[in-house]
Amino acid sequence: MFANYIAGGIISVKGDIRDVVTGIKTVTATAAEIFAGATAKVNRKKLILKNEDPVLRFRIGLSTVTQQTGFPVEPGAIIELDIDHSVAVPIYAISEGANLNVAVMEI
Amino acid sequence: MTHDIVVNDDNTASISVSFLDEGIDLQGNTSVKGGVAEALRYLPVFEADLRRNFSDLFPLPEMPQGGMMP
Repeated sequence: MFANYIAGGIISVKGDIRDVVTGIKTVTATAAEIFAGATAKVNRKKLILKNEDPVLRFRIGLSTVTQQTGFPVEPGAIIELDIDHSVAVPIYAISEGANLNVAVMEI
Repeated sequence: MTHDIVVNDDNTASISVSFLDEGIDLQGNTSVKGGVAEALRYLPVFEADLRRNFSDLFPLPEMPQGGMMP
């Protein structure tokens, strides 16, 4: 898995845009799987997350992620994850504080 | 909406929801870290996100017609 981390900038996404799924997810202090639609996109190759909160940070990782561990995503930041589409690995997100909104795109 | 929660062996809980009881053909599946308590805590959040992201599937509430204030 390879991640590009861009804070508030412009990202260029390479992928088949015809299969893109977008949505807004509420990330809470309970670590939960993060995806764009009603369930994680099958064979997804990219997961792009944008922290839409102006002050709160959230963290991502596997199901063991906590408010102290996992990779932080700063307010306003965008993170892009390249995923092996042949292996379904749930990505979890947890807020470091109150609920916050995350824009999600799956390709 | 109806839901089902399954506790997994890896300290996660799987949540399945369905809006068929509301006449909406939408099902969702997700997982949370923890057990039943965490799943129940997250359930309304998951439901709200589905209603927001698939708002085109849900009928708009009817506005009441005008009338005299009591």
